[in-house]
Amino acid sequence: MDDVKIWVLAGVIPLMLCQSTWLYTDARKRSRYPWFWAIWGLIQCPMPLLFYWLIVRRKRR
Amino acid sequence: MTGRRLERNSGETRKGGGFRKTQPEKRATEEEEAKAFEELLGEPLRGWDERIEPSVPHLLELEELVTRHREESSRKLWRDLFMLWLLGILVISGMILLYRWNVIAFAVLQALAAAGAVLFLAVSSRKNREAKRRWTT
Amino acid sequence: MSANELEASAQIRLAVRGDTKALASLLHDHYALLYKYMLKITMNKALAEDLVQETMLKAIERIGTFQAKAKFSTWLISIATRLYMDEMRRKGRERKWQSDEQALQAIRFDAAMSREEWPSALDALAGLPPDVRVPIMLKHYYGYSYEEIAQWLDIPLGTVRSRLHNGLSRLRKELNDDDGTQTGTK
Repeated sequence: MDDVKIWVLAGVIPLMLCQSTWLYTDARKRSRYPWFWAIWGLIQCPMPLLFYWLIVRRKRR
Repeated sequence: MTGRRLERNSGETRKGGGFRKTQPEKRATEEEEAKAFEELLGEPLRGWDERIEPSVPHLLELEELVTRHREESSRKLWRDLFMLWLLGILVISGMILLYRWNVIAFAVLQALAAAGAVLFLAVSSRKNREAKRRWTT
Repeated sequence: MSANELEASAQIRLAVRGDTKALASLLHDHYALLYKYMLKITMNKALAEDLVQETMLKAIERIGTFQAKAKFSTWLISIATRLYMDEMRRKGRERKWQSDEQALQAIRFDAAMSREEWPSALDALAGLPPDVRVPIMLKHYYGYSYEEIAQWLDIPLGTVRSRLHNGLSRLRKELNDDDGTQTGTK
């Protein structure tokens, strides 16, 4: 069981980094607060993506 | 681009007391305003427009601008990403450790983060809207 | 599509894909229009020049998101308008720029118009607050739609209408009150 946990945890780091990176680079072009999205994207998933989609991507442009 | 009408508002009927204008009324106002504008400002603006002589930068200057700005932006981006990843490793490791030490604390933190983020978004959006409305000299 | 238009849209597509020369060429072609627009809505030469610079930098950053179907000039104007709006909102009453009167003087000087030649209509226009002047220019001089204006200024459609209405009333009152010192004569 611990073995699986290790692999899961090992996957989390790149996952969160990717989410955060994507949010950051996209938010730089379209939002006023790229760092906010980036940091939120480090902490949890997939809420930031959801909100980002709704707020920045859907309404504005 | 000119004269694109408000198709979206078509079919709007008159509400109590004539508060809203009907489609033809709107169009009439629009034309009347356009005429007023033309009478008052048309000539002066066009005259001024003709006399403006902007110093247009040379094509090569602009090419340089594009290249330079792109390089600068790219450099800044990578620098920021680097910092983000550094910060990221710290934060994510911290979260993992927290999870293993005390799952409840971890869950609480996650909930707080979510609440905090949503709060931030709400507050900033309201501030933006107010700032836009109060945008007068 | 005329040969000119075909060439223009090909260039746009190149620019969107990252071609430096194509983008520079587009910016070069549209510079004059952009500058004249900025000058007319800011009524302030130094500010206009700065904002034109900023607009171009923003355009360079965002060309990747430009939809080739739209008009390049419209896109530039939308960027410029938003920048001006942000600028006005941020500064409040902080005067980094010359006073309005000085700025107007600089413009008159530039247009090589003496105080007498300068139409009072333009003074009246300069006297309007920016959030009224901008919609009026966009709608009645440049011919953009209510929706576009509402989108660029981030205000509801009704507000656009009311600002246009109020602005024109003000202009009418101000210019017709001056017992017919009419403007724009040859």
